[in-house]
Amino acid sequence: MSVDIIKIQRPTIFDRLVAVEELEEFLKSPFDESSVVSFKKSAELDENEIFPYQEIEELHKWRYNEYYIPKQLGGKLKSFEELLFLTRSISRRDLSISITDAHTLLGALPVWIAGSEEQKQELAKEIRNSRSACLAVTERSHGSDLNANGVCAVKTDDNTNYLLTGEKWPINKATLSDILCVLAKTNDKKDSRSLSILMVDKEKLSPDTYAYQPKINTLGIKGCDISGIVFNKAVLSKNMLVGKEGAGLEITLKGFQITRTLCAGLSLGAVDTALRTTLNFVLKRQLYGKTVFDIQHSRHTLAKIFIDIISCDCLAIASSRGLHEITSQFSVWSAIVKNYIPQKVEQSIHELSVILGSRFYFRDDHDHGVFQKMMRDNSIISLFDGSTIINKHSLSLQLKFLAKKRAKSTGIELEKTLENIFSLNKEVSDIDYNKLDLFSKGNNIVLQGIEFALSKLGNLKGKNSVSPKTLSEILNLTIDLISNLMDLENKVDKLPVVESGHNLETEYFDLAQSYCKLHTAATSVFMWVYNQEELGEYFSKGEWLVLSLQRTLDSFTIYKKELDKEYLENTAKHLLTLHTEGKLFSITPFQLSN
Amino acid sequence: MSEKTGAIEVAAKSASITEMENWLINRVAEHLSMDSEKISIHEELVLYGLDSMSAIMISGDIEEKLNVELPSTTLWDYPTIHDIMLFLKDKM
Repeated sequence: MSVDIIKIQRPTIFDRLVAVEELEEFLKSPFDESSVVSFKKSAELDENEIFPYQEIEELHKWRYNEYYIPKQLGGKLKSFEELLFLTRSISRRDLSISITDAHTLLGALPVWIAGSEEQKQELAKEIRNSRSACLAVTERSHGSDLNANGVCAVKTDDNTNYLLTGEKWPINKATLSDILCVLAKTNDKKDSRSLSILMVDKEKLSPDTYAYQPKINTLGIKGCDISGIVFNKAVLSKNMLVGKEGAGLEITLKGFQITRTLCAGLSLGAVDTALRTTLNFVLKRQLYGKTVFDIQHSRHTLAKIFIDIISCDCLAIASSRGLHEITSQFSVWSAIVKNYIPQKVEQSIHELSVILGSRFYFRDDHDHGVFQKMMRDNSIISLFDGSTIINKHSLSLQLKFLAKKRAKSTGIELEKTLENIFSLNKEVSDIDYNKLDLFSKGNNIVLQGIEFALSKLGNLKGKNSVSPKTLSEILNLTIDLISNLMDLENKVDKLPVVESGHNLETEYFDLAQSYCKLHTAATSVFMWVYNQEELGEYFSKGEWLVLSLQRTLDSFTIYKKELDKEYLENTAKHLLTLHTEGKLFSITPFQLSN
Repeated sequence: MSEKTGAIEVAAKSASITEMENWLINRVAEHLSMDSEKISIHEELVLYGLDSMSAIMISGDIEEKLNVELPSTTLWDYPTIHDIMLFLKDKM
C-alpha cells in the first residue's frame, strides 16, 4: 500500500464508533459560550460550587445515560472502547460532569456483574429514566481497608428483610443519587466473605431511616456532590441482595476492574483540554518577535507531551478493548491503567503549566481559566476507585506469577487474541462479566506475546510507509524492552516472599512501576504493528513510536536515549494539524466540535 | 488393580496429602512471617492476619504446586487449612 493511499483512507474506527462524533456535534464546542457544556459556564458553576444539573439533563436528552446500560438489557453499552471515547468527549469539557454522571455506571456494575435478572431489568429501567446510581463503599475510619467496614445489614427475624445501619462517607452522589449499591457486613467476622452488596432505592426507604452528611468542600470538582449518608435500621427487602451473601468484596473488586480502566477516559479528556488551551496560548503569544510555538524548546516540549499522551492513548484503547477479549486478566491490566495513566497525565499537565506560565494560575482570563480547573479536577482521578498506591500494591502481589508464566509462553499461540485486541478495524466480542477474575494467574498477553511482536516487525521490512532507519530503531527498542523485561523478571525472582498485610518491600512497588512502563511500551508496539497502514501517514511512519518507546523506557537501559529532532519536528507539525483541524489528540483523531 | 497396588496408591496419596498440608502450612507461615509450628490447621487464617489479597496469592501458589485450576477465592471460601485440604483432596 502506498503512502498516498494511507493519507486518504478514513480509518474504520470512526464509522464503528460513530456515536463519538455525534456526541461532539450535539455538545458543540466548549469554547462556544452557548454550547451545552461551555468552559465559561463550567467555570461559573465551579466557582459557586453548583452541581451541573442542567448540563446532565441535556446530556441525558441525548440519551447518554443509556450508555451505562448493557445492550442485552436494551441499553447502548456495546463496548467499553466506545464508552472510553465518549467519556473523553465529556471529560475534555468538564470533569465534574463526567465524574458525577459516570458514577452511575460504577453504582450499576455490581448488578450487571452479579445481580438477578429481575434486578438487572429494574435497574436498567431506572437508569433509562435518568435516575442516577452510586456505589457506597468507603467509610470514614476505614479508607481502602474494606474488610474493616462497619456498615452492617442484619437479617430480620422473619428472614424477609435486612436492616441497614451505619455511615458511608465520603461518597460521590451520596445525597443526589436515587439508587445506591451499598457494601455492608452481613456477618460479624472480618473476613473476605463477611461483606455483601445491597441495592438501595431511596424512594422505597422510610425517610426517618436515613440522613445525609453535608457536602464536603473539595480542591477540585467543586460542584460535585461529595457527601455522606447514614442509615439507621433502613428496611431493605432480601430481594435487594446483589449476588450471594458474602460476595460483596468480590463483586466490588471486579467492578473496579472496569471503572479503573475507564478512568483513562477521564484523564485523557482532561489532558486534551490542557494541551489544547496551552496551544491556543502559545500560537498567539508573541515573545521576542515570534510566537512561543516558534521557540524550539517550547515546541519540542509540547511534542514530547503529545507523545506521552499518545502512549497513554494506546494503553487506554487497548485496555478498553482487552476488557472484552481477555477479561480474566484485568486484575493486572486495570491496575496498570489506573496506576500509569492518571500519574502520567498529572505529570503532563504540570509540564504544560510551565509553558503556559502565569496563565495557568489564573482562574479566568485565558479560556475562562479552564487550565487550572482541569488541573484541580484531574488530581482526584489518581485517588478514587483505588489510589495509585493501591493499584501498585495489587500489581506487586502478582509479579512473581507474571514472571513465571511468561517464561513458559511462546507468544505464537496468542496471535489471534492479540489481533482481536489491537486491530482497530475489528469489533470487540461481547463482554462476559463472569470471566472477571481477582487474579490473572500469571497471564498478561501483551508481555507474554512480546517476542511475537518482533516477527511482526520483521515483516514490515521493505514497506514504503516506514523508513528502514525508523523500523530499525523500533526493532532495537523492542529488543531493549524484552531485555529489560527479562532483567525485571530476574529481580522479581530474587525478591523476598510477599508478606500478608500492606508491609511490602519498597522494591516490589518499584518493580511494579517498571512493569507498568514495560507493559505500556509493549501496547504501543502492538498498536502500531496491527494498525500500521490504517491510521494515517503520521501513525504509519512510526516515528512517534520511536519517541514513545524512548520516553516510556527512559528509566531503563536502552540503546538510544536522545530524541531525534526531526521526529520531534514532525510530531510538532502533526500536533499543530490536529489542533488546527479541531481533532482529538489521539492515534484515532476523532473530529471534535469547533 | 490388585489389592496390593491399590494399598500402595492409597498410602502414596495419604503421604502426598500430608506433604501438601505441611507445604501449605509453611507457605501460609511465610506470608504471615510466623513460625509454622504456631499455625493450627483448624484456626481460620484470617485470625492470624492473612488478608484477602494474600489469600488469593496463596491460592495461586497451590495452583502452581498441584498444577490444577482453582477459583481465585478458594481461601475465602475454605478459611482453615483443614477446610482447604478437604477441598483439595479430590484434586490431588
